[in-house]
Amino acid sequence: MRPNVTRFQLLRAGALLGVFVAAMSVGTPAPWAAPAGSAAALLAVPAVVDAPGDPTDVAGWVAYRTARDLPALPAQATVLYRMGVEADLKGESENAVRLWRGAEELDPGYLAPRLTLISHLLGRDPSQGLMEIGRLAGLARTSFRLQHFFTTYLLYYAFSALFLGTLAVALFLCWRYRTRLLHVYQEMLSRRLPAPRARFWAWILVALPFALGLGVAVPAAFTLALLWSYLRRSERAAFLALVGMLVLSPMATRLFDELSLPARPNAPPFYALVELDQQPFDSARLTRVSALAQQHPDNPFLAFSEGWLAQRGHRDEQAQAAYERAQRQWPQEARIPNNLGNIAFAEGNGSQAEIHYKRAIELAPRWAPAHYNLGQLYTARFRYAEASEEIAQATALDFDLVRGLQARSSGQSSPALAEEWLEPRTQWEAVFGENPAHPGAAVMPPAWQPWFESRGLAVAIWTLLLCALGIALGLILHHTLPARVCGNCAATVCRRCATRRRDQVLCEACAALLSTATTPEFGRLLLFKRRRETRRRLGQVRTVMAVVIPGFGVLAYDRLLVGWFVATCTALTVFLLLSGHAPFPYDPRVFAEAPRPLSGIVLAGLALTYFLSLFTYLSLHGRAREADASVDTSSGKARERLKRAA
Amino acid sequence: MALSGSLREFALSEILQLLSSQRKTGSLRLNRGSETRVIYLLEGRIAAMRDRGFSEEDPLARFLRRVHRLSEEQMRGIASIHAESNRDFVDLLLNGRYIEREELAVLYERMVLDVLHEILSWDDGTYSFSNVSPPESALQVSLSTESMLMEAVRRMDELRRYQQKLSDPSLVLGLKELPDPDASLGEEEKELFGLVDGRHTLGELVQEAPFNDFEAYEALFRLIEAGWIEIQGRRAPEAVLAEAPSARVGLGATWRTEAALAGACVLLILLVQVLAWRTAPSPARSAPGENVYATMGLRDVRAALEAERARSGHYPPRLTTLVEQGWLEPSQLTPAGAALAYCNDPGDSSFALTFAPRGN
Repeated sequence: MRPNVTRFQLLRAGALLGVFVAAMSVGTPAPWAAPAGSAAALLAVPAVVDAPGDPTDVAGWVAYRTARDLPALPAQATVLYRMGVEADLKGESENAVRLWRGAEELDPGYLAPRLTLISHLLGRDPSQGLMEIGRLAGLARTSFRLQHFFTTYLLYYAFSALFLGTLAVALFLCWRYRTRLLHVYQEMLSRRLPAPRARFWAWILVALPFALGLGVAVPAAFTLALLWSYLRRSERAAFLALVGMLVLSPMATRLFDELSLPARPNAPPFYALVELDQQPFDSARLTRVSALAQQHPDNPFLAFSEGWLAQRGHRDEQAQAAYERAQRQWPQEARIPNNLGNIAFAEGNGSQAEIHYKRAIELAPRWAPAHYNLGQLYTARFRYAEASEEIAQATALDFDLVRGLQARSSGQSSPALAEEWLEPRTQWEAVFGENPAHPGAAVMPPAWQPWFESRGLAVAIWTLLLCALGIALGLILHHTLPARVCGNCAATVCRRCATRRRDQVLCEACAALLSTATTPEFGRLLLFKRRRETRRRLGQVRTVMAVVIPGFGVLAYDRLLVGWFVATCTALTVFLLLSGHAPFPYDPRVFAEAPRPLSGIVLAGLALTYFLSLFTYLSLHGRAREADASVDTSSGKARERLKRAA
Repeated sequence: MALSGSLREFALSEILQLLSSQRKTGSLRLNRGSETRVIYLLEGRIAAMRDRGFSEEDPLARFLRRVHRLSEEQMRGIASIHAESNRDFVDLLLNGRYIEREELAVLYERMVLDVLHEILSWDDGTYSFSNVSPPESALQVSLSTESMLMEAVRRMDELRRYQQKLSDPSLVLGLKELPDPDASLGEEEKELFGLVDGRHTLGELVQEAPFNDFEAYEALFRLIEAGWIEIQGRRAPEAVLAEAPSARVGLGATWRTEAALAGACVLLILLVQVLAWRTAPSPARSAPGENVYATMGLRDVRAALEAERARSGHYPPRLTTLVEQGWLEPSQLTPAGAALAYCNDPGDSSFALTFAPRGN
């Protein structure tokens, strides 16, 4: 598999950013997952502990899990989480926190209680909340599944919000310039139709692209292409941004198809085995994985999975053979020699184990488990000085890991050894490597599936064709009959209908008003009154719209970038609040009534966006009024004259 | 000193240059037939171009009428006041608040240029210069003779160029394009732009414009060069101004046009639908086991079953119990549209949950 490090690094960075975003769609418990850096106490002898009868007996369940050396107790964790939510709804906050922490301990990979704790503690005990965030970030650093989940969510919401924000700006521009198209269509149709009918059909022609069944974005792009001659530079940039998004949309859908690989049940390279490290040994599963590995000998992931499962079933020979097959294809993966070293150690072959551990350290000098295991080997062979040095190094690299392993080793006859599932980097490389074609249709987020814009290459072709046609048609229309605005009331006019007073172009209504004036001064006064009245009416409509729709007021004052930002933020928060769920959820979606963690923060974000929009609009509105007032004041003398004339 | 002669022997420009260089003070009278023009110089600079008083032939009065600055009615009013008081025309204009002083100064300069432009084209006539001081006037003027001459000569050259393109007064000028809101127009262009309507001839426009001939031609020429107006034809001087074409359309034509439009819209929608359908990706026909969302839904149901067992101690008899117990939403029982087959072990130690075969 060809490594794709750059994309991997970007994605890993994105994964950490996605923690918050992902929280919004996780509202339900998880059944599996084990602690990062978990140690398998291969040689430990478990004490006999019975399962407690009370589901809320957190200490009992934790002792049960430890005694049975189970990676996780997902069902019990789910129940604890639910009980915690129910306790919180009853106002028993302390009990809720206890139950959530219990759920977290029973299933360390369970995201919902962690996010709920963060959401709960941030408002009450911020230091605890920040510590929870730190724990989650630590988990995300080592867990491919969590990284995959956060990355997918971040990309999903980022793409959706960016697209919807840009689309909102494009639709606003279509609405703002609609009268230009309407007027030109109407003038052309009025050669063959009476004016009211021409106006009716002009509306039909403007709305027609949106009725073709090509979604909303492609017709909006086509309409803006028709209006290209009238658009300002920033508005053209918005149009090009929309076209760019539509043309590049196949890449987004392809990206999600690639990101679906870990979740695909029958697709290489993972065959839905990325959760294997969180599951207890099952001989049927080992048989299935062995068969798959034999079927696909060139798939190192399957070889490693077989080795991992066989090692858990104490089938050392099979495990060793499988790991060696994996090592031939992944010679740079330090986990393989480490696990081979553990097998050799368990078999009593210390010198071979030492070779494997040293190989693992050579491949990943800053990876703590190999140092720890080598330290344990040296201890078993009475080489205490070297053992102390290795364990000190392991402690310096990962204190929690060493502390956890030593706690598990206490009272046992043999030390617990450290081993880890594949490094996230290796799995990311597998996601974006050259994978054979997989069965089934391309996968994309369910919320996107009904959108025409998610149809891949067809959308790009339609967009390019229609935009080229729109620009050509728009230029012809503009050349044939350019539309302008009335110099007084800003209504749309053209050379056929405009009345000219010196260089001032007036619409029919303004010209009719002017014709009633007996003197030029009185005419100017009438025009001024009409202009003021028109502006006042439009201002009222604009204010109402600005109050109702965040971003509208800012866009109306030509602050396109700020408007786009507000629209995107609004789309993001509304999408987070309203969308059912995003693709590839980390936890199973159970306990449907669970409140969404961090929804309060998202609501606060929405409110902040709304007030930012409103405040910016009011500020711009005030400035515009001041400018109008200063014009009035400067022309006070003239106004007096006009009043006298009136 | 007296200086007189024929304009055939000495061109006016040469006489004016001579008087200007000698810094002479006096009046230069020019006669051609019944026409008389006078230029008063003060130390070689133009100080006036009219005699004191008021008459119909006063160059300033003619100019103000030509540029539509004074109406005939106002002229008659001024004439009657003058008849009673014998006051100077400029004095009447200023004191009667017909024109402000600053504006009158500008108009006076334009008048000087207009008269100079006119008399420079005289190729016969006589001139005489006498040492007479310029008449006293409420408006003091002092214009550089050389500058005025140069501008007048330039105008003569330019007018010839304009008239090469706009030679025929019967040309009809029409609107080609409305001006760009950002484009800056001169005062003359602004005034003339409103008059051009595709019905009036060049001669009528020049006559109607509140400018002298040169200014009107210059503005029209610039508008043509900028592409805002164009020559749309020619109209015989005696032809009556046509009415604007009416937009009356017959009922039959309307019906046919609307039917054609409706048909075109429907056809377009159908065509695009067919093309969109042909370019659409084929719908997913994979088995539920190969569908990511179906298998994830199956995982959710399994997790809910385990959770219910952990809570109540047994697996539920039916999947709908999971909905009743609040573990799942009803839609989750058919993940990605796939039906589920659930079988509970009588001993309650295990369960079987798979996708139901299609068609069941």
